[in-house]
Amino acid sequence: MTAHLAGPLGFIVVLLLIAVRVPIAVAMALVGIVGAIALGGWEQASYILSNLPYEAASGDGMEVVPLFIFMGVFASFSGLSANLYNGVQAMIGHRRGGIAMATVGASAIFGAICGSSLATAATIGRVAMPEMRARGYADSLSAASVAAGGTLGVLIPPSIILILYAIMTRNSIGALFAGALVPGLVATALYMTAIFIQVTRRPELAPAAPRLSFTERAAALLRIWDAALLILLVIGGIYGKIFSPTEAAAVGAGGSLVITVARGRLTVAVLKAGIAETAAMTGMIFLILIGASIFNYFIELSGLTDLLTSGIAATGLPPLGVLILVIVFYIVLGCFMDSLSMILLTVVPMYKLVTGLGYDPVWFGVLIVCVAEIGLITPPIGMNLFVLQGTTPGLKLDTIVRGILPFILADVVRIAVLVALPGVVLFLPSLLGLR
Amino acid sequence: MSDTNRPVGDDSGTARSLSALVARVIDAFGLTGVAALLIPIVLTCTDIVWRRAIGGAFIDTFDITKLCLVTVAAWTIPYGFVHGCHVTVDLIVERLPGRVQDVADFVISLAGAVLFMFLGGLAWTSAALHYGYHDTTQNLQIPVVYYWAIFIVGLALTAIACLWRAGMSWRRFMDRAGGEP
Repeated sequence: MTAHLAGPLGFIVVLLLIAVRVPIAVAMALVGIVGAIALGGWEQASYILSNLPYEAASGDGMEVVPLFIFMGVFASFSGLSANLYNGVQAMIGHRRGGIAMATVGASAIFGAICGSSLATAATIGRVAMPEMRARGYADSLSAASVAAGGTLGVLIPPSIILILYAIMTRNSIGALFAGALVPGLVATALYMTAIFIQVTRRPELAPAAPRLSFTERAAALLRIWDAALLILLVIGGIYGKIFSPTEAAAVGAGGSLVITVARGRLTVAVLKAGIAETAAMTGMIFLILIGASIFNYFIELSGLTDLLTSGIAATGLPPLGVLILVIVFYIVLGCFMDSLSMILLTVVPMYKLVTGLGYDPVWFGVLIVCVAEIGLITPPIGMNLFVLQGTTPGLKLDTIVRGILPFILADVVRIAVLVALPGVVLFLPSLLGLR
Repeated sequence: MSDTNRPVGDDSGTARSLSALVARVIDAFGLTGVAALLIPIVLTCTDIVWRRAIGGAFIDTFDITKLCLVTVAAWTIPYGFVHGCHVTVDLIVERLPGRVQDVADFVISLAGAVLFMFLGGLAWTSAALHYGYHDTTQNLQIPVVYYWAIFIVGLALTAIACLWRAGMSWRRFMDRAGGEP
């Protein structure tokens, strides 16, 4: 068997192992080790493999990952999400569908504190679902707006997936964060538009609520000071060139802990639960990183990237055609794999392929995160759907799925906008001198 | 998604105590790993304030942050295995009878244990090299072997966590064989 065949075969074996319940990271590592030894020989492979897992876990810039997870987890426990939700709801909740729009808005702001989609969906869902049910909103619309809003957590900086993409492809974390900001706002606007269109066509989905007085709205807005402060510290600190991303992550983690204390929420039980949740998420991410680093070493040895590039060149497809194929590939894969594993499993060959066609690396990073977001709300492995079902009593999976289609269409529109207008991603990093 | 960390039937005596002890030890390491993050948080915040107020670095935080990173990364991975947090996608096995699922979980967990023992063995050779050369970090002169030792402990615990899961699957299998559904 030639090395070129080993790469595609390796991918197939990984997918087969994943399908029979082998943890994704373990599947990648097992196939990577066997493939690397087969292609590189024991001496070379054992030398590289003796260092790779350690380097994957301790690489430069990697410290931001657990720190941002810590920040997001303790922000969830601090209770600031309830005030955040009430603040946004006070502004737009009186409109028909306004509370669902407020859910999306609050998710976007919470996404600027928490880099995880699942945590965003779970945290906002706990506050928003009872409220929307109490106001007579249809479960399908309510649940879908929480699930879709949750996906903003992986796009709006700080985003764990963008950090890992930056580290693996040696791009600037700051540039990727800046590049994701406007697409995150575009996504928020498109989700709100999707809600608006749905409630205009079917008003029974979401009754209008009474408008609050100016004083009540101002009071509700003032109560989101802590969330605003945390975002200002982290995002403002990075772009104000006051902190490096690592320092911003440490400050954000410390800030969320201080806010939890200031709100009187830090009990021993909360501390334990916060640490346990951080441990679970951190362990999961680092294991995938180790598995992906081993598998990617094997993929590099196999020359799969060259095979892909030359194969695609032979088809005579224009770069845009190749890009559309890549997007379709990620959408399909996203139906069966979680977004983080999917990106880490494929990023090395795809990155080389797409940037080799002349596309910008920062733009591509933001684009694939947007595409991966679709997988978070697409059955059968839409993680946000499961999280929401798990945190909302009596909510059936098919109810969420029924309401999710307009949001998936909004995602498709956003991806089309990003492909047609790369400036949506690139102008802010350029403006800030980050590329 | 599937969670293979399902509760199992009661078992008596030593096996149950040992299983609980292993889970508790791995929990303790995982939570200690995360608690170690408080060190870079405090140091970095202090360093920023110090730089603004007095000028110059309070302490070189880089090496310490890296040490804490290795701790949290290596020690939370086994925690993830014990609590069933690692990402799995089950398209086939969940449709099979319970006993077949138990056998699959047992085999997968054993394969995981072998994988981490193998990686641990390789990491040991690297650590031995760093130890032999008396390598230290550039700033605070911390012996590099400390970092590797923490990492190897994490890999060893992960192998143990996989064996723990294999034991759980075996117990479930035996419970079912004993007449439980």
